[in-house]
This record gives sequence, structure tokens and C-alpha cells, in this order.
Amino acid sequence: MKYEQNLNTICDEVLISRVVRGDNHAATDLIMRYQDKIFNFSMRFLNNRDDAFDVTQETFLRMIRSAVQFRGESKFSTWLFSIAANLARDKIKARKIFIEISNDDDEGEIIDFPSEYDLEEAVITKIDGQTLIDAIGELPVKLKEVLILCDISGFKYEEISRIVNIPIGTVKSRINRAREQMLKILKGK
Amino acid sequence: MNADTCEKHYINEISSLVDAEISGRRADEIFRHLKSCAKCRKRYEMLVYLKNGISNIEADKLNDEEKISLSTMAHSAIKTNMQISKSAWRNRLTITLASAAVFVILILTTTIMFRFLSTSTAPTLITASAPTAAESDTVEEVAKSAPVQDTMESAAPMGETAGELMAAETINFPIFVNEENSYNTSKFKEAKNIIETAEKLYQKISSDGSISQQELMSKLKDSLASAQLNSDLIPIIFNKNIEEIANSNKDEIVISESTRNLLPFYAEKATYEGNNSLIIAYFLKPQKDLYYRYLLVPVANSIDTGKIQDLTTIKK
Repeated sequence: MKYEQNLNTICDEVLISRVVRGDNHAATDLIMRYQDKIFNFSMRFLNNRDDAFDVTQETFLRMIRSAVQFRGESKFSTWLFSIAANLARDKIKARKIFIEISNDDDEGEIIDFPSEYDLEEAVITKIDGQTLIDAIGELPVKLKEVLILCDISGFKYEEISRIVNIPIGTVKSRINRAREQMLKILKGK
Repeated sequence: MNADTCEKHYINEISSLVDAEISGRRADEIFRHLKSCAKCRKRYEMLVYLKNGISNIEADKLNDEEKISLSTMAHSAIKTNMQISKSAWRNRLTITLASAAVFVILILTTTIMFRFLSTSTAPTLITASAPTAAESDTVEEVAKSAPVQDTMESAAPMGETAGELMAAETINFPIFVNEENSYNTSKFKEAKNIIETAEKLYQKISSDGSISQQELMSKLKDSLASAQLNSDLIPIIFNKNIEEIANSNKDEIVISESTRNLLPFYAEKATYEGNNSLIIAYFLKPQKDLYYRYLLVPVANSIDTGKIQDLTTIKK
């Protein structure tokens, strides 16, 4: 019990270094800290419980196997989510529903917004949990990914940039476009 | 302001503003614009509302069965990892021992062969001629330099440039993470390079005792510049109070109060004063309460009054 209490005060980076040395308690503690976060991210991304659990399990398996490769150059959470994001993307590819969106990385794109009335109507009248989940599910993978990492997992743009391995400017552009598409989807519902 | 101007200058920034990714003057500017532009203000409010809505979607959680399954998987994976690691270690050991055995056999074979050949050849008359003037000088130089090399194995050679000092053998520091869980490893590397440079310079001082403080500081700064490091990390306090300390008659170690103007590193100043020497040193460490490693940046003063002794002998 005392050992568990001590573990709670230890930062992730120290715990992962213990995992390298074969510390079961450290691995368990990291899993307990992140299992729900990774699962929730996977659920929003994949919208399927079995797939989300597979991704969560595989993420922690890779965390243990690849612990020695963690150099502390980024935060542990960033490293772990990048594993999960890669696995979730692979899962979608395997389902053969991976949709490439054209001109995805255009910077400085001018967006044609709905009118003020439409925006208000869309957001205020249609915004309940399940509707939002469905709307997120309709987003292209690349937009969905950054929006979930930003609004659900709570990462900053710089961290998202590391997780998804794209420039910060692209993160900003994708989030902007994801929200724009969300509003359009909500308007159509 | 018309709609085109909004779209060009503000609309695409509003999403980043909602995420608090824009700050300072630009944020102020956009907020000022929002006060005067109903369209952008409405846009901002909608995006805030949308973001809050998404953030507040009830999180999906694993059930107990799934959690147990994850935990079991982790234990199993750790066990497998350790077995693989042990197996790899055994393999490495086997290879190492085999290599050593082959090496020993080769040495023995070579020795036996050499002895056999030397005993089987006829003795030859050895004649010696006087060395030329140039050879004689070289021999003398070698003879002169030999004792110095014996006593200064780790010291940097005289005349070595700052760049060469930086390229010299490096010391492996442990990866360190601070309690805020956000340690900046690049800064640590920077400090490590500074310290290594300084340590090598210190070795040089202790070898001949002839380098001046100005020369030392200059060389340290050159080294930092050559390594594209931030010379601001050399604290201004290096140049402060030196006279005061030099004129002090106290023959004791003084560890002063900490100074935090060397952030992100914690610094402590220490002076080591002997009968004919004085060393002012700055110890750097990533965090005040940590003891894992002190990093030393020494600055010597009054060193022309006598040869500087080894730091450990001056330390009381």
C-alpha cells in the first residue's frame, strides 16, 4: 500500500524508466493513469467499443515493449498518445474506410462560413452529446483526429503537432476546418 | 470593417483564440475587433459553445473486466520482456567469452610463432649511427614532454582551441526529470556542454597556473559561441565581488545564498581560498533540492600568486 502511494507521486517519465527495468508496479500504475484517456480517445476516433479496446490494449503493449525507446524528448503523454493515434489510424485503414481529403494541408484557407443565423441555429438547437458524437464520426479522419486531441483529450497545438507529426500550422488549419465542418454537419441534421 | 477584411484578418484566427493558442497583442487586437464586429463575435461565441459541447461529452470508460484484462496483459508483457532481455544478455555473454577465447588463442599462437622464428634465425650485428640534428631535437622534445604527459593524462594540451575542447571526450549524464514533469532536456545538454568545457579549462589552469581570469572567461565564452550555446548562461555575477573576496583574509569555504538568476538552473557560489590561491566556483544543478550531480563552473582569481592546487586539496 505504501509503495502504491509512493507511485502516485512519481512522474510518468520516472515510471516508464522503471518499466524498462521490468517493474510491474510501474507499468500497472501508468496503465491506471492513462487507460481511460486512451480508451476515450480511441472510442471517439473509432466509434466502436471493441476496436477502441483493441487499440487501448495494443497501445499499452507497445508502451511496455518500446519503453526503452522513450528518451524523454517529449512528455510521456505525448509519446503514448502518438502510439494510440497511429494504431487508431491503422484500424481505420484496415476497415477500408480511410478517406483522403483533398487540399488538406492548405494554409491560410478562406472558409465560407454559414450565415450568423445558421450558425446560431445549428449550434444552439442541435448540440447534445450523441449528436456531437455522430457529427464527429462524420468528419474526415485527419480532421477528426486533431479535433479529438484538442477538445476531448485536451492537448495544446504543439503537443498535437508532435503526436500526429505534422506542423503546428497544419494543426491549426485542420482544427479550424474540423469545427467548420462540424457546424455544417450540425446544420444539416 | 467589411466581411472580406474579417475573413482575411480575423475569421481563421478565431478558432485558435478559442483554444487559447493566441495571446499577447494579437489576442488583444482580435478581442478589440470582436467588440466592433457582430459577425466575428457571433462566430467566436459559437465556437466556444461548440468546443465546450465537445469537451463535455461524457467520457467512455473501460469496464472492470477490460481493466483486469489490460493489467494481466501488462504483467505478461513485462515478464516476456525480461525473458527476452535475459536471453539477449546470455547471448551477448556467450559471444563475448567466445571472442575473448579466440583472442587469447591468437595471442598465444603469435607469441609461439614469434619465439620459434627468432630462435631459428641467425644473430645479426647491430650497428648504431649518431642521430641527425633534427632527430636529436625531436628526441629531446619527447624526453621533455614525457613527464608532463605522465602527470597530466586528462588535461587539455596547451594551445588547444575552444572548439577542440568542445569536441573532446564527453561525459554521460543521467537522463533527469524534475518534479514538475517538464524538464527541458535541450537546456540540460546545453549546460552539460558548458560544464564540460569549463571542467577542461579548469584542468588546464591547474596544470600550469598561468591562465588569467580574463583569459579563462574569454576562452569559456569562445567555447560557448563555437558550440552555438547561449553565453547569457554565464552569469554576470561571475564578475561581481571578486575583488572583495580576493581581499578577504578568511581562509575558509564560503557557500553563499543561492541565486536564481541563472534559471533554468539553480546555482550556488563557492569560494576556495588558500595561502596563495583563490578559486571562485559556481556549482550548477538542475534543481535546488537535488543531490544527484553538481556541475562545476570554476572561475579562478589571483592565480598568478601561486600554482593552483587540486580543488580537493584546497577544499577544507
